[in-house]
Amino acid sequence: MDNLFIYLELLVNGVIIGTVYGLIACGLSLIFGVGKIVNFAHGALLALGMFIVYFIQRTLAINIYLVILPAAFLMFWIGYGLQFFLIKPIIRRESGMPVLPVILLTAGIMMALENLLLMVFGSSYLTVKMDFAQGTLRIGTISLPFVRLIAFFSSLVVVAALHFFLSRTDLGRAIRAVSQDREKARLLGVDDHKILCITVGLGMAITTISGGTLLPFYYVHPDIGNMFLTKCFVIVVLGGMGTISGALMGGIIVGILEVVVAQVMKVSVVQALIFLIFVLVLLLKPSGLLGTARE
Amino acid sequence: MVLLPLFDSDPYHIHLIISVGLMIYLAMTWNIVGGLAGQVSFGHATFVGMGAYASTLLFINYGLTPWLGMIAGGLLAVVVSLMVGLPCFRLRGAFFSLSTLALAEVVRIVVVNTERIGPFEVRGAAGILVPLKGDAPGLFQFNGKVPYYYIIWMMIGAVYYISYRIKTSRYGLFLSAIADDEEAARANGVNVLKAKMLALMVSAFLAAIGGTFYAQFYRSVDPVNVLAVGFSMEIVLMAVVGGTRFLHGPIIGTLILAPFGEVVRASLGGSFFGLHKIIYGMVLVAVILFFPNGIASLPDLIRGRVKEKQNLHAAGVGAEE
Repeated sequence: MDNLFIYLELLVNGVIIGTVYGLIACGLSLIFGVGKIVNFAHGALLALGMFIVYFIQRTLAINIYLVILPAAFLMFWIGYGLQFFLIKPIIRRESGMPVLPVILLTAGIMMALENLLLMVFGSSYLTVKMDFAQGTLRIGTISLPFVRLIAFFSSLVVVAALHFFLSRTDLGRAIRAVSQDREKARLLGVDDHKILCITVGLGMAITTISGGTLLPFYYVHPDIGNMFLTKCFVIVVLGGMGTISGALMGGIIVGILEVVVAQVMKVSVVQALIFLIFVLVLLLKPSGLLGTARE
Repeated sequence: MVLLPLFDSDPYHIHLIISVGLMIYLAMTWNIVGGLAGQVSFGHATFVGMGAYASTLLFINYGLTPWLGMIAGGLLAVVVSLMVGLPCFRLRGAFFSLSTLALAEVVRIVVVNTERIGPFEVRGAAGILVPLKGDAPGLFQFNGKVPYYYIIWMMIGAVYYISYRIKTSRYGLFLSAIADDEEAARANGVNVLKAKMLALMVSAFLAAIGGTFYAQFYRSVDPVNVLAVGFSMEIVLMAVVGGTRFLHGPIIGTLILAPFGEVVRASLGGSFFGLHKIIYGMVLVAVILFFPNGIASLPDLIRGRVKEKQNLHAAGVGAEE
């Protein structure tokens, strides 16, 4: 009976962290699904968002959860600016989607951003000191720290809000239109460039929210970007590109996998395993487990 | 330039030039697959690492001179390139690049977590040191820096020649067709996979030889320096900034960035750690935005502008009229 509870706890923890991962990947999925932009800087931007939350929290010494939304707002505009100033010119230049320059451009942004964070914050692993919500919920022998539960539920809320936004609002519909067919959307009067900027901003905001809720029970470090970059792509590819439910599903799968495999292997080896799964999924089912067959 | 050591015997300068030379060499090996074939791989450092580890371990365990060890390293890199290329080349553009990144990290993590393979002590993250034998040309070791200087220039010449022969051959034509439009090339009967694989194998082999040079010059090999994604990124950066469509692109890119980066790192690296890499990143962004074909395309751009002005003038347009 004991064993069952152990596995159950692992499972629950996997689902919890997986949901947060899924939200981070949602940001990526949104940007990729709508703009067809493979953003190599996504991890670095996540790190930036987390560092912003960390920094504001430490400077103002207020409850971290109050910092997250303003930080997300800030990151929205950073994302918007990124698309507007750096990526849009490249898209404008070519007729189709210029894959190569965008890869290199975002790789350059990644390089600059990561090392900027390294320079400003140093290379130590930083954690947030928490007074709020330090307790744990206990169900049987399973203990669930409140901070993890908060991250879990806030991720669910954001996903639901995102879904509502995309399906019920005009702006959401415009975004979906652009993701389906940019040319036709433009013909229908949608300013596709502006939609792309908004989408990137939105993706950044979402990613920052999840990163921020991660902070209380995780650490922040300039290298976090690299780790999450591939993880995010694994999730997005696993779950199907451009779908929110796919990103969530992929996130949960990766979360459970991580937690379970970490019992028998070292953490870094788990990462390697995830990378291998990534390549495998790309080869076997590029559209992911839930994605529609695109091209 | 080649005769520099005769004029300037400051060992720091020579060391700097050799470091830059090595980057030029590696950037050119990357360009065989990145520029000539248009496949952006972020895992080039893996091949360099294979060469460095292979020749050094063979030297430590069997006393095999790195001159021969580097061939072994090259062959190992070719095998690894097959394992990487065959799956990855089936993926399009960005996903190819992502998967090379992922596989490169897998290799790095495996090496970091490996203490020994059979008789070879790999020593994981600590890395290995090249046993010092003093001045031993037969063992690819020299006390002074000058011999390394000449060797790296010969290597650069060799890779330039090889790149040139590839580019101007019929095979090179296939590669540039693939780089421009893979589907069209395939439709025209080009065996795309074979062509890409061949380029990758050549690139990997040459990169591994560069890895052996790295080991023999710097005398220490560890995963953080030799197998890291950051190293791959730097190599890609040098080639792209210079211009991948040109044979001399990687040379120009490296000549612009590497000495500058080295100087920044040496003077400000203490207080502003990583500053040179920030600048690298920003330069890459700027180049992609303003010089999409690299800095080496500058003469062409200028010539294009001049022609434009000439044409306008000939057509009777212009303020002077």
